[in-house]
Parts: sequence; structure tokens; C-alpha cells
Amino acid sequence: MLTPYSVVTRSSRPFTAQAQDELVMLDPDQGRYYGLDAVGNRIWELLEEPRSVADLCAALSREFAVDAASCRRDVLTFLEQLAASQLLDVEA
Amino acid sequence: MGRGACAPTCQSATRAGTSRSRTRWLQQAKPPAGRCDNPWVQSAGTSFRARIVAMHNLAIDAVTSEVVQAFDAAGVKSLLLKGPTIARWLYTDNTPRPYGDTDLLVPPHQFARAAEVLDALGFANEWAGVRESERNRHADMYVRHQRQGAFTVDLHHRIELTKVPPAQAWAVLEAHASTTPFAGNAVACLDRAARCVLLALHVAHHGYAEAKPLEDLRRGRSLETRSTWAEARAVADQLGATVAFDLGLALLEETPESLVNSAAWSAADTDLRMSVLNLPPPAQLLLMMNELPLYRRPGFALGRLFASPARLRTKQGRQAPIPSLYWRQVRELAAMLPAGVTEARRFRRLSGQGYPDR
Repeated sequence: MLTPYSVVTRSSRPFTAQAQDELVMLDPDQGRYYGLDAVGNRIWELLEEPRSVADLCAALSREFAVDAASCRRDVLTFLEQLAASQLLDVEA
Repeated sequence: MGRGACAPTCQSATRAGTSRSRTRWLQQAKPPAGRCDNPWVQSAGTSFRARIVAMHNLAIDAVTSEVVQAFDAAGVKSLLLKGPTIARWLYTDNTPRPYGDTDLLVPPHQFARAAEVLDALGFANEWAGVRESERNRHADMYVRHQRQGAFTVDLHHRIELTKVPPAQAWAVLEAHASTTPFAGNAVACLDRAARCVLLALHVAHHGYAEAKPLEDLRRGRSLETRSTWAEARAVADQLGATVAFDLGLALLEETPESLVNSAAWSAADTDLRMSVLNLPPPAQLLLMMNELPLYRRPGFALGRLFASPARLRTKQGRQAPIPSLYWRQVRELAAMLPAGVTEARRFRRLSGQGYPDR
């Protein structure tokens, strides 16, 4: 279960390709494709280096028109989905 | 797919982001009339074609990464050409740029070892069993059939239209290469100047018939500076490909009719001219035969008419009996012969009275 204090980083495993607004990913081990829309793509970029969920939300709140609570809720849901798909590494 | 917060798989195609809390928030967002410009709420959307091209390219990248890793483990050097290097360099405006296979150049002295590695990975050489005269002059094609489809690796032993020995060409290109991250690994890719050379040579090889190389070259000319293109010409010199390089660039500016009056055309030999004009096979055969002494022409014609069984199977499919493959070969060449004669005459007219001295 992720919390705002969890430190996360993206998995290095998937191959990625930009398709207009979308980031398309292929996990070669699972043989599955994933797609991230524009905001998901930005989150993926920000997770190149380990950072806490709170830091991530703070960065996103500065860039997008979203309030803090909604941002935290949506980001945690998104990160949980990434983790379930083995696309996220949780360090702490 | 969720509106920025959720990312289910493309295969499942489920869309999240419809929770009650999000709905309330969306209502509070009060988008301007006609369109919501808040990307947290609504993405601009991606065309189906762009998505499919990206998925297709990624599948090829996965194969490329696997092959390069295997080469590295076997001590085989390689340079990644075309495909993803062009897409990532010239198509950053989100225009889909599909590629169909993996192009790898290896040092000539390691070509056999590279072939062994591909064989161990389950690739089959499509040119196995063909005569030396029938082989592709710059690469062998290896194909592996998987559940997802057939994946092709073009294993290059030389670069098309270069005149220097392959070992020398490798040394030149290796000096213009660097390691770059690719699909979870590191691969060796050419620098900008060397890539520019390949853009021009690719156009010279395919001529006006192929739109993709022309568009690649147009973008490269627009993107790269004069100094990079000047450096590219110097690299082309080192590869013995200056004429082909200049001719490739000329194709961007000239029509076929005006091209034949250009300096680049004047300097080109018959082989290069035939490539540029993309003559059909019968026309090429007629022109090549015309250059031979009389006593060699019958043997040349019979050799082309009766290609090796392996070559016919590569061209026409592997299941038909050999006699039917030959019969089909004869029928096809006979059907193309009238047009071939017309094209050959047109070529000779465009080239002047004779062929340039080689």
C-alpha cells in the first residue's frame, strides 16, 4: 500500500515510444503493452529518479490545474496500478 | 485509459478515472465552452495509427535489444542503423515513423560469428543456398517466426553504394559511433554526420520509388546544420561514396528529367543510375547484359532466367514445387519484358548515347 511518504521510481524494464500525446510501453518480460496519457506520461518522466509520492504530487500540482487532494488521490491510484503491473519499484 | 491518473493496459482497453470523486472534481473544473484545456481532465487524444505504429516499433526494438545483447555476449561488435535511430532523430514532432526490421552492421571478420549467433536465437537466413551472384550485395536477411509475427534482422556486411572494402568502411563508421541507451541496453549508433551519409545513400539506393527515404532525407536536410552536412560529405569521401551521396541529395531537388542534366548524374556509373531510376528487373538485366561481351550474354541470361531453387523459394514462397516456381519465373519475366525494353531504351536516352567509363 503506497503512502505519500513512499519513495518510488519507474521500472527500467519496459521499452517506451511516444505516440503523439500518449506514451506506449512494452514490457518484454510480460509481453504486454501499456499506454499512458499525457499526464501519466509526465508522471513517468518524473519517476526517472527515485522520489517520494509527496514530492511527485507537489511537482504535478505546480504544472497542472489540479488541487492537492485530487492530485494525491489520482496519483496514488495510478501508482498502485503501475505497481500491480510491475512497472514501479518501491524503495521505502 | 484514465484521464491522467490511471493507466490500464491497451489490451484490456478499460478506462478508469470515472470515480465519484473525479466526477465531482471534473464538474468543479468548469471547462471553457466547447473544449476543456486542462490536461489533467482531458487528453488531446492519440490517433489509432500512431498507437499501432508505436506498438509495432516497440516489438521490433525488443528483438533488436535481444540480438544486440547476444552479439555483445559473443564478442561481436555491431552498429545499429536506420529504423529507431532515424525515428528518434528526425520524427520528434510526433509524426509516426514506422520501421519494419532491424538493421545491424557488423565487422566483416565477425560476420560468420554474427550469423551463428542469429542461428542460435532461432533466426533463419533467407539467402541460404542462393548463388553468390544472387545475393543481396550489402546484407543477409534473417527471419524468425514468433507468435506475434515474423521479425527480420538485416545483417549488413557492407553499406550500400560504398566503394571501399567492407573492413575499411567499418573502421570509418566505427570512428563515428557512440554508445547510446536503447530498450534497456546500450547499443552503438552512428553520430549525426554518419547518419546523414546513410540518409543520402538510402535515397540514392531507392531513388524516387520509395517515399520514406526521401522524407527522411528532407527532414535531415532541414534539421542538421551546414557544417554537419559538410562533415557528412567528408565521411562519404572516406567510404568511397561521394558520387552516390551527391546523387542522393540531388534527388531532393530534381525531377527525373532534370536530374539527368545534373553534375551528380554525370558522375554516376550505370549501376547507380539504375538504382536511382528504380528500373524494373527486366530493364536492369537488359542493360547489364548489354555491357557484357557477346559471348557472355547467353550465360548471363540463362543464369538469371534459371535462378537457384533457393532464390526462387525466397522470392515466391517455399511450398510450391520447383518446376512450378521456374515456370512462374519465366512467365513473369516474359510478361515484364516489353515494359523492360521500353524502360531500358528510356534509360539509355536519359543517359546519353553510351555509358560512362567506369
